[in-house]
Amino acid sequence: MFSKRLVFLMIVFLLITTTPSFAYQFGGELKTGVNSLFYDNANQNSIYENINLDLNFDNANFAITAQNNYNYFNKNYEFDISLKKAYIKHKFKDTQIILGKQPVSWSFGSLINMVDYSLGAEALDEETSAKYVNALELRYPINWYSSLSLISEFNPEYDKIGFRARTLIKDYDISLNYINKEVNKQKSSRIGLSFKGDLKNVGLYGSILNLNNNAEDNVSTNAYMLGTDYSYYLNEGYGNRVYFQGEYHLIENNEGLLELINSLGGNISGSQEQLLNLFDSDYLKILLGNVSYSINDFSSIGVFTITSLDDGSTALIPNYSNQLTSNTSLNINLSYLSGEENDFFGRGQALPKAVLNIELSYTF
Amino acid sequence: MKKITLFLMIALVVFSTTVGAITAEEIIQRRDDNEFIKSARVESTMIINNSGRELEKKMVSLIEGNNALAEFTNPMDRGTKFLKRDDNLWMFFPDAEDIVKLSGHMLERGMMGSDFSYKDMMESEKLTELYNFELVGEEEYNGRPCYKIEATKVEGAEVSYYKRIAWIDKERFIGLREELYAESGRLLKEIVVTRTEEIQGRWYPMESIMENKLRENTSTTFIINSIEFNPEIPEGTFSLESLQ
Repeated sequence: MFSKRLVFLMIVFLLITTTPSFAYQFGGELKTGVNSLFYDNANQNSIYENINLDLNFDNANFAITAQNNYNYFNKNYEFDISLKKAYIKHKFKDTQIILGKQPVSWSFGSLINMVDYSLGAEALDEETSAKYVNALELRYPINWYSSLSLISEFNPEYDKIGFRARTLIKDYDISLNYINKEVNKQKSSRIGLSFKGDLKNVGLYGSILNLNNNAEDNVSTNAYMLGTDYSYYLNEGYGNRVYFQGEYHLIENNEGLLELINSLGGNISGSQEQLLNLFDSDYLKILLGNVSYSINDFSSIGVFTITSLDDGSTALIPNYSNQLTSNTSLNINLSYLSGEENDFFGRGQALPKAVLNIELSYTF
Repeated sequence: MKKITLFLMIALVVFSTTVGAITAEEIIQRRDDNEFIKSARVESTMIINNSGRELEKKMVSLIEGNNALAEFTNPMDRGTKFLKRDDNLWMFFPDAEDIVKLSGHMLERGMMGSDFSYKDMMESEKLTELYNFELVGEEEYNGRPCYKIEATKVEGAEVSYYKRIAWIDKERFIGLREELYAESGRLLKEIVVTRTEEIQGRWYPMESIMENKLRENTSTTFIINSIEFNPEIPEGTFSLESLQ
């Protein structure tokens, strides 16, 4: 009730104080693609078309997305339209106020981010709908590289707030994040620190996280990550580029793990009890890798890997992209789970052993 | 009398030669006076060519010393922004509205798939501080008489290319062609200026083609659609806040 009144008052405040801006940019993207799911005994193919429209003013942003999906296997047709962004922003003295449906992300360049505002909002360079939230955000810059931001989310199912302090220390981008979520009077909070910088010619980044969940008898779960990236150029350092990225995650193996596992992208099989019983070790150990090679100015080929060091199961995601014209690009992705049913990156009963996606997109 | 006349003539020739001789450093200094940017607002187009295929990218940049803010405006990259502060580079992803600090090794990478690196595009280097110069000759290039200057990097200087050979217009003091070499002596890139213009009292290259000699059939044409030297840049422009 309080949050609804606050939203109403903020909307009135912003509408009164925001100077209308008629300078705008309009654009969008059309996508069409094929998804093929390969099971042991059958394949499922579907074809989709997707349109994103984006209308951007200096102090407001609106984006909608609509998708047609036709599944050849069960002859099922689906149409979905949703509001991706709808927010207004206003600068009050030095503070930026943003109200409405907006993307909230505290990325720092990692493949998986456990200190993000929403777990699983981004994984392996792909974003999910979890990133877009109805919220009020206050952003206060302290100087050119430091800022504070406070987010209060409006969701009928839970209360959630987030706080982020970001700065630069010795050329390292440092971020301290705090997120508190309450569902049915059961609180869960995450506090984390992330950093990103350079060690000579190598990119270095990492994060430390503590999750506290009072729904699980105040269980406290720690997670650590260390990552690196490097570019190698052929032909004396001036030719085509090979890019390497690697991350090592160490996550404490207790009830809190189940909440954090959402950030791994969702290719996880089995029930929660099964997951907890998968390993004898105190920590879950995950290794992520990304290698890509620029074939020429327009196309690249690469592969993402996620490996559980406890059971050796791996998810392999080779990909190919080609910018065909200034506005058109082709992307091909294959996801393959090597593990068996009870493995961490196993297929389980419901998951396919491989997923192929071929997508053509046009921007305007 | 004849002796005095002969002496005077020799003295005049020697004197006039001494006064007229220009050193390599002076040539580069005069080139820097034209081409070095203290601050500027630039609207530009990059055309990336590879084996007959072309991609076009447009951007608006603000440059001040070692700092730059660039925003792409072509449909594919619309809203993508880069902030460079000294050797630190940040990127803003417009769809996700996310700012990520890029690793230092990315600065040497071709910007958005072009043959120009982020450093090439977002930094104006005062060459006199980075290289030792030698005037190796005079040649005509594209019908314009030019000084041919060889530059070798100053020991300890951090530069992208060990050696450069430049053809500098004798009258306008603007580089018309430049070859960029690795320490091994291998030719890496060649820049050819195809259009120059006098703007605010200085000659400036408005259209150039960069060719990467290590890759076949690839080049990037860089076209300056408009440039304003020393514009008023509001305080706080080169900040993470302005990226969002």
